[in-house]
Amino acid sequence: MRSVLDQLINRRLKDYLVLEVYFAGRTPTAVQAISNLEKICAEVCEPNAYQIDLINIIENPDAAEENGILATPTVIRRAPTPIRTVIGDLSDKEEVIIGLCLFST
Amino acid sequence: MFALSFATSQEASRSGAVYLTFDESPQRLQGYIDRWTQKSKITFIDVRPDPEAVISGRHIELSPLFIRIENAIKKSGAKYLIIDAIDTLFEAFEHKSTVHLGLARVFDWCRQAGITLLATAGESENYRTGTGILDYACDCAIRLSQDMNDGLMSRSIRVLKNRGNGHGTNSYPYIIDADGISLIPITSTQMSAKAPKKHLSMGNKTLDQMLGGKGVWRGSTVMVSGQSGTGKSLLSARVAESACQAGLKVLYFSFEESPDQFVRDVASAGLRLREFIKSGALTIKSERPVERGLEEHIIRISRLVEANEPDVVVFDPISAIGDMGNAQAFKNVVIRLCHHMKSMGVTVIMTELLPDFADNYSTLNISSLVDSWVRLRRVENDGKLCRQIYVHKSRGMKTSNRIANFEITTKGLEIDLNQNE
Repeated sequence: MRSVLDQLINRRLKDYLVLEVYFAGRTPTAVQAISNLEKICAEVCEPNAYQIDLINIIENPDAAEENGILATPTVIRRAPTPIRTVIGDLSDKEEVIIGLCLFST
Repeated sequence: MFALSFATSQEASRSGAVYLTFDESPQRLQGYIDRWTQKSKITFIDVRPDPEAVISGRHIELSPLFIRIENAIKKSGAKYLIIDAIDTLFEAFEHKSTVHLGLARVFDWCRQAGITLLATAGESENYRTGTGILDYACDCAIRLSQDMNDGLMSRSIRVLKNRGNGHGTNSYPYIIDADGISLIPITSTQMSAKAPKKHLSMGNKTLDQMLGGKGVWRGSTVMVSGQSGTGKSLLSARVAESACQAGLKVLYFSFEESPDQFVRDVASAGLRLREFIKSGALTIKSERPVERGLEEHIIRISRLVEANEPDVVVFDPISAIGDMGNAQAFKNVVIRLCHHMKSMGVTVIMTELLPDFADNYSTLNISSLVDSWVRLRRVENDGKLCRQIYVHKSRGMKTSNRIANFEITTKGLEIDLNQNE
């Protein structure tokens, strides 16, 4: 299984990656999720080939409404398409990579 | 199962409502609502879980739910919050405690903000363990269910709890149709109907005489019973005709014949109903009772009566509704119906078809309900079929004790009081 994941990670994304993290205030879970995501991206993406936008829905509730956020933290892969969603503290690296499809298909 | 249900209660649409939907799309819900009412001030929040979303890690917060509700309520100024199919949330997330806490927070906030919250949850066998906390967190719980009896579906509603209020404890039937939800008027235990001081002629001088001179009291319940072919429909049609002639409004439920057929048939005995149908004084409704359950019937009838505001209602024959369920259920329905009509001051004429084996005894057992009871019967005598009529009882009337012969002629019922003298 590990080797399969490694193979996937080696197939780097060709397009610029835009991720949005929706969180409700800097709760321990939110902080953990953001830190986990940053680590994963640093590992699987080329430097300067990605950006992570942080959206605090307490300050911007309309954003939560528009994007149908049901639970936090939620990560949405905005670009490239297809749009993918992962919910949770992102402590399971494998789920995040596969869930967000952080490799070329 | 009954998710949509109360969504569009009138109160909610007057002051605006926020509607959280966990299972149906806002577009579809709006579609249902548009069929019921034009004016609705409902803000939808689509909180259907994304089935493709992947969950990573054990920790999840449900604060967005709360933030979005608060946001929508602030923007719309709504005083009502509806959470539809709350149980979906428990299915979408593994950690029940997270869901419980998230919802408890919403409940608390609503109480503080003075928002009326209505949550619906599908019921399953382990419903209590599934959404357990909700039972305790809410102030009022209402249970809807549907049952099948003899192949007919009936829906019923029961108030499980209502903090700080006395409430009915029984299960009450209801129906859902084009007008939304309708409940049967609940039978009042107190009998406080006013007794009108006017009479209603039975449309036949001799019969009026037998009833004490002027017919029956207005607003009373009159039963006409007899075996088939004794002239029940004709008699009640004549009452309807004479009521129309007296300027009253009549609603006639014909459970055996279509309006057209009925009008044609009684015309053979000299009754002219068509002109009254044209003038709007007479409305004939024909419905095959077998297609609906007992409860649905009574609701539809009550609603028609309320909309039509007649002075006289005729059920011909009431026993047709009785075919629908067991005797006790039928009796309950008739009691409710009669009380409801009486409270509206409507005179009720109902006919009962007696089976031949009943030997002229009523099988409905609702004698105590009716104020006046006219009985028709057939007697075979000297190779001749003879029809007889007598007044079994009539409350508050000086009634005749005669059993009179009568004939059905082209001029209607001709009662001969002098025979058998």
